Amino acid sequence: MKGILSATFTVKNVLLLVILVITACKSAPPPSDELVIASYGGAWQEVQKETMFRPFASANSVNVRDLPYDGQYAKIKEMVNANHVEWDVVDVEGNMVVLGARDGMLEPIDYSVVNKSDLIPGSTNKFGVGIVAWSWVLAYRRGALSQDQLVNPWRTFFDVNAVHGARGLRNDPRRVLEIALIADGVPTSSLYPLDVDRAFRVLTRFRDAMRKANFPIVWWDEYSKPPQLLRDSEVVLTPGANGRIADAQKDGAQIDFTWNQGIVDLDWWVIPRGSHKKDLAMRFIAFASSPDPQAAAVKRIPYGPVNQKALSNLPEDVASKLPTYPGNLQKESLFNTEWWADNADRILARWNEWRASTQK
Amino acid sequence: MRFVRNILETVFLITAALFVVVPTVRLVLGPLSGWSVSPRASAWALLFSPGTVAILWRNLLLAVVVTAVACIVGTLLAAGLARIRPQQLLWIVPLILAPLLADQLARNYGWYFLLRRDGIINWVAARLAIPGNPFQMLYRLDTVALAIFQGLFPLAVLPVFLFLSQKEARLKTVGMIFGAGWLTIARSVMLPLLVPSILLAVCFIFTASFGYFITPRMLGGDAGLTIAGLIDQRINLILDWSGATALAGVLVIACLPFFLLFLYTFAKLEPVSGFSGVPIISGTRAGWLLRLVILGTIFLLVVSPLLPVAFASFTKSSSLSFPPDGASARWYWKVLTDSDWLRSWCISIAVASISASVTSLLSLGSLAFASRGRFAATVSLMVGALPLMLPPIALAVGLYRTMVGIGLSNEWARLVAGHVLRGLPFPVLSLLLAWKSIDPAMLKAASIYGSDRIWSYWKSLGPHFAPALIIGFLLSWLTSFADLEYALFLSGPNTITLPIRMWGALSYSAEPSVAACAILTTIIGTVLLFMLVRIVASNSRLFTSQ
Repeated sequence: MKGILSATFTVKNVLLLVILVITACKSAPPPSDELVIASYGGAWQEVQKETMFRPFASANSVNVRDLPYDGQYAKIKEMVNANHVEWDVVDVEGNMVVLGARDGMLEPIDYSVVNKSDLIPGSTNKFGVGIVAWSWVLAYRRGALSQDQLVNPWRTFFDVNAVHGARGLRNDPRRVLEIALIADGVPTSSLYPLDVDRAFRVLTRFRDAMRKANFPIVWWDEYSKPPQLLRDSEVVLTPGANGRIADAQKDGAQIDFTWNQGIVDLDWWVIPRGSHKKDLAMRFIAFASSPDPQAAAVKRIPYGPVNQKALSNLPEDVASKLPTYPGNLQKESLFNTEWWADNADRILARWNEWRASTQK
Repeated sequence: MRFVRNILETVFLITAALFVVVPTVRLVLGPLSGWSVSPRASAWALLFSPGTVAILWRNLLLAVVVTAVACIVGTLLAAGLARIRPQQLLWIVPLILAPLLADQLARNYGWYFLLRRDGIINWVAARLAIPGNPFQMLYRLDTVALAIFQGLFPLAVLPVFLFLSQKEARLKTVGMIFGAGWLTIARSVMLPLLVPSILLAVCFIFTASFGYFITPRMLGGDAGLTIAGLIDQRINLILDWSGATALAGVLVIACLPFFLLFLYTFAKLEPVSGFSGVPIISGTRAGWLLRLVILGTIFLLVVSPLLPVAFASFTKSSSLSFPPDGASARWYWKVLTDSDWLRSWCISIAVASISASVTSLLSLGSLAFASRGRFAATVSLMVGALPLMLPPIALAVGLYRTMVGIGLSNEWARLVAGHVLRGLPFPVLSLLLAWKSIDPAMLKAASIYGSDRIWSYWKSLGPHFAPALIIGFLLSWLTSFADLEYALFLSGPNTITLPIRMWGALSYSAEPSVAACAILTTIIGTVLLFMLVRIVASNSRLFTSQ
């Protein structure tokens, strides 16, 4: 042992190490022949990889490297501020497009490269292009709800006596306030601006009733949770993302969901400001929102294509399972990202207070 | 030798200044410019809002409960371990470190499988017709505290164990000479002497558990609301950096008393006189019943959340569930053959090895520097302990800014620096702890060699520091290998580590590949640990029995 240690710490070795570290740390410019795309990981990224990244790479003979990230906007912000942008295209939630644009973190989209004409209204922003639409829907254990109860699903959800058992809810006020208001009778057309006081009254009533009935409210964060909680009988009802519920169904889980009163939202492509491969990134976005990759992707995972041609090219039995299918879309309402970007700070304070106000 | 010492010291000081002090200062005072959606003034409003205050209390309560559990269970187990035969310890030490190897998220799933309403424990309870079943075990303070403790298990046991193993034998002999029973010895001799090392464990556990948010969020329900969770919310939901920084300040302030207590306790640690330096672990053997209880408890703690994950990893279906659907090895196949996963394995192992080597080297520098005097020792200690006190995301951002600021923006350098920062406390503290336990007489004897203070005594004191260095190296290797928070922020397109890969697979759809990967890392890691401990033991007389 002594021998090993003294051999390791000879002057020469230490100097060598120092030199090695210094050379290794010399900042290298990012490789120029590679498009780097950050997305949310898991099955969705694999679908993106096969239907969008790889076909784009081989059609343009460039390398595409993709990596999972956790929606960390802080990282994008720091990269842009330091003028050291490593990601060329990022898959983000809607609020990132709004807030990122306000903060000057994003490159404007060049709509002479991206063909706007086929994209559904609302999916083209000055700083972002929609990828696919998904819907926040009520999911339930198969057989737990009758057809009548599915007509007004959120009312059923918040009515403790209608269905007995635990409920799941996301630990995030976005969309939870919306469904509380819908359950209380606010028409979906006049949802925004949200009546926040009223929503919290509904939520408090619901929480008290649940406690009285001795049903737990299970708070979850990741969208992978709702199907799991339902499958494990941890909850009987919970909101969830339609795609994940459908995946679990395919896997044989005895769970179901309804399009009624769903809340539709989009995922977006954005380009961080200062990307070295802005033009290539723009071409990628144009490719990813063209009909073929869109159709290929939503065949694999049931999200709604933003390209209308992709939707009309799909067979009826595939199209009817997507949130942007006209028959489904008419039952749903749209999530208002702008309103939330303006009000999230205020509502979060109240939400946290409300969450922490349970008696122990 | 003196030259080497100077180099090590300089490298340590430069690194400490650059990668620990500067990021921290920048973080606290830092340019909060242009980052916030809300103006600075609202950061104060945020801090004193009723929601934040209520959540702060809950967070404190949770940390206190975790610390209490860790202290009691950890001390008992450490006391038990100190009485187990050295040969058996060779098997147990890797087992203690094993929980660090399994991915935190995968472990959380394990707890979920065990504790949920239709879960394993309730299934057993129903079979045994235990009245009151099914029990509601999830979303409660006590169970989430247990789960957090399980992840911090090594931190709770090791400081006490290291200290105890040196004192136990001698003190017990002294006690026996006076004819005292074991209870009296425990109460009036061992406990007062153990207080400092228990306090150290308290500081570690409290500060570490206070910054946890993923486990509390997943298993804690209303009891799992944390300040770190609020920071996550500010950063990711409304991109409010100034609010997040203010909340990080709350974390730092709450941990400050423990930081000071830690410095104070450390300064007060009494060297053990008459300590021979070589036989770290010695002493009497425990009875078979005691051994069984100790081993059983450790086994339960370590393995219980991993067993259901191990079963679930053989599922056929594409989402993690227990009991698994059918049996197949498809997820193992994926984890071991998919090119993305393979690359991540290599990156994780490389980064962990490089950063653990660097931290060990730096910790030698810190030891050399500490030996210069009281003030220098305090500086070493503070630098070593600082990364434990700050929320990882905040420190990662500070580090990122500093490194990009000085032009070291290479992604490998960033990631290694982050992991050095994260892992530095372990070798530094364990070396300083070992230094503290040196007998002054030993120092005097060593000074006969003719040079100053500790560093040049390596020849005589080497065997004394070697175990501490090895434990420090192992702990920092393991933290680097398992790190998610720093890696998410500091890695680049070519440095996607295994935990990031697992995180990606789990958060989107609970893919069983994560379970397979967690089981593989645990098994491979435990085997490597066994081998390493054996090699060390045979080389350094670490575990010599009397």
